[in-house]
Amino acid sequence: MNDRGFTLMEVLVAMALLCVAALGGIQLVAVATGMMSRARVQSLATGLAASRMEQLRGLRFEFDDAGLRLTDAATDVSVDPPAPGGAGLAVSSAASLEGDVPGYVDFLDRNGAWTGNGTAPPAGTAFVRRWAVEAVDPGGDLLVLQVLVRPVTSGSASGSERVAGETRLVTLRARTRR
Amino acid sequence: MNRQRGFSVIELLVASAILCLVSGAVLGLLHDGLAGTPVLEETTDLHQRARVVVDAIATELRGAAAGTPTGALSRYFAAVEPRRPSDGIGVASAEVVTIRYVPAGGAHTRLAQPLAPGATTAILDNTGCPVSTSACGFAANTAAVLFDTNGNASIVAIGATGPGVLTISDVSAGRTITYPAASEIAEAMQVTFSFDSGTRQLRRSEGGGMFAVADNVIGLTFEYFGDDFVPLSLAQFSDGPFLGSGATAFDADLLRLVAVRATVRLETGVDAMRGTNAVLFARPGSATGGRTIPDIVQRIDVTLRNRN
Repeated sequence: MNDRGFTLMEVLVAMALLCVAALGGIQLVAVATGMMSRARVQSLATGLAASRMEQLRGLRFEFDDAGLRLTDAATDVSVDPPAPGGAGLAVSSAASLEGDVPGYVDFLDRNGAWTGNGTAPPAGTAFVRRWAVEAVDPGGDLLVLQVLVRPVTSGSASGSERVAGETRLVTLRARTRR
Repeated sequence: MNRQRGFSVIELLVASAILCLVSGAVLGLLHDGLAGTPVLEETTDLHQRARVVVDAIATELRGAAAGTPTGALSRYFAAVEPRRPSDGIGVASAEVVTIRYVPAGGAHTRLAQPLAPGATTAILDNTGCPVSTSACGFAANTAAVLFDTNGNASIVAIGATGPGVLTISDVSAGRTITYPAASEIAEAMQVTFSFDSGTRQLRRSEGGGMFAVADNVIGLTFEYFGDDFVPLSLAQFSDGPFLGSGATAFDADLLRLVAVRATVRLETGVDAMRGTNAVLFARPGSATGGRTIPDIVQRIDVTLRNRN
C-alpha cells in the first residue's frame, strides 16, 4: 500500500515544472510577436526595393529612330518623385551599394515614406536604399541594376555583410528600340 | 505502517501559500499573453491585406496595354485611364484606374469588311489565324477590343461565333463610327480598380462583375508620370485635346504615360485597436491604452512594360 500522499519537496518540484512549462508557452507569444514585426520590415523592404527597380526601369535607355543611343543620365531618382538634376542611369561607382554615394542613395521612414537623400540619414529614418548601375559591355547597351534596402536599427548600415531584414534585387536591362 | 500521516497543517499552509503566489504570477503572464493574441491575429490580417492589394494592382499594371503582334494597345488608344469605362469624356479621378490589355495568347485578327455603328456581325479576316479554329480562336461570352489607327476603340462582348464570323454587342455606350476593314479585333481584358469610401473597400470590376479586393482600405490614390518621370496631373487628362470617338474618347496626354504610382492606406477594422494619434490613425479608434495597430501605407510604383 503506497497511499501516503506527496511530500512538500515533491509538491515544490511539481510546481517548478509547471512554471517552466507555462513560461515556455508565454515565450512563444513573444517570439511570434517579434517574428511578425520582422516579417513586416522584410516585406516593406522588398516593396521599397521593387519600387526603385521600377523607376530605374522607367528611365530612358533606348535607340532612337536614327539608331543613336539615348540614355537618361539626368533624372534624379533619389528624390520623391524623381526630378531633373541627378545621375539617372549613369554608371555608378563600385562602392554605391556599400556606402552612401550621393545620387545613388535615399532614406525612408518606417512606413516607407521618403525622408531624404545625400550622405546623412535624417531623423526618423528606418531604411536606407542604395542602388548601383554597372555596364556589362563596352558600348553600355546592357546594364546590371542592383538595389539594396537595409533596415537601419543597429546603426551598422554600411559594409557588404548581410544584415537581417535586408533585400537585394538584381536585374539586367538591355537597350531597346523605342 | 505508521507512515500514512499526510501533511501537517503547517506544511499544508506553506504549500498552498506558495501555490497561490506562483499561480498568481503565471496567470498574470498568461493573461498578458492571451490579451495580445487578437492583436497578433489582426496584425497578420492587416499585413496580409496589404500584400494582396499590392499584388492585385501591380500585376494588372505590369500587363497593361499588352497588345497584338502589331504593337502595344497604347499605340492606338488609352490602355490605362484614370476613370471608369462608364464615365464621360474628360472625367479623371485619382481614386480610379482602368487597365486594358490582350491576355497572353489571346485571339486576334482584323476585320475583313467595315463594321457600321449598330452592326452586330463582324466578318473576320482569317489570314494568319490558327488553322484548327473557325473564328480565329475567339470564344463566345468573352470580351474583345476593336480598334483602328485613328484612336477609336470599342470594347465588345462576343455572343456567338461562326466560321469567320462573330456576333458582337457593345459593352457600354454604342459605337458612333464605322470601323474600316483591316481594323484590329482582339480578345481583351478591361479591369477597373476603384475605391469605395462608403464601404471602405478596394474594388475590382471586370466584365460585368465587381468584387472587393480588400476591406478596411481608407485611401487609394493613383499618380501618373510621363517620360523622365514628369508628373502628369489629373487636370492634364481632362483638358483635351481628345482622340477617338464615342464613350472611349480619351485625352491625348494619356498616350504619354510611362509610370503609375498607387498609394494605399489600410487600417485595422477593430475600433478598439486603433488609437487617436492622427499621424498613425486616419480614423481615430476607441483604444484606451493597451496595444494598438497603426495604419499601413503602401506605395506601389510600376513602369508600364508595353509602350511600343
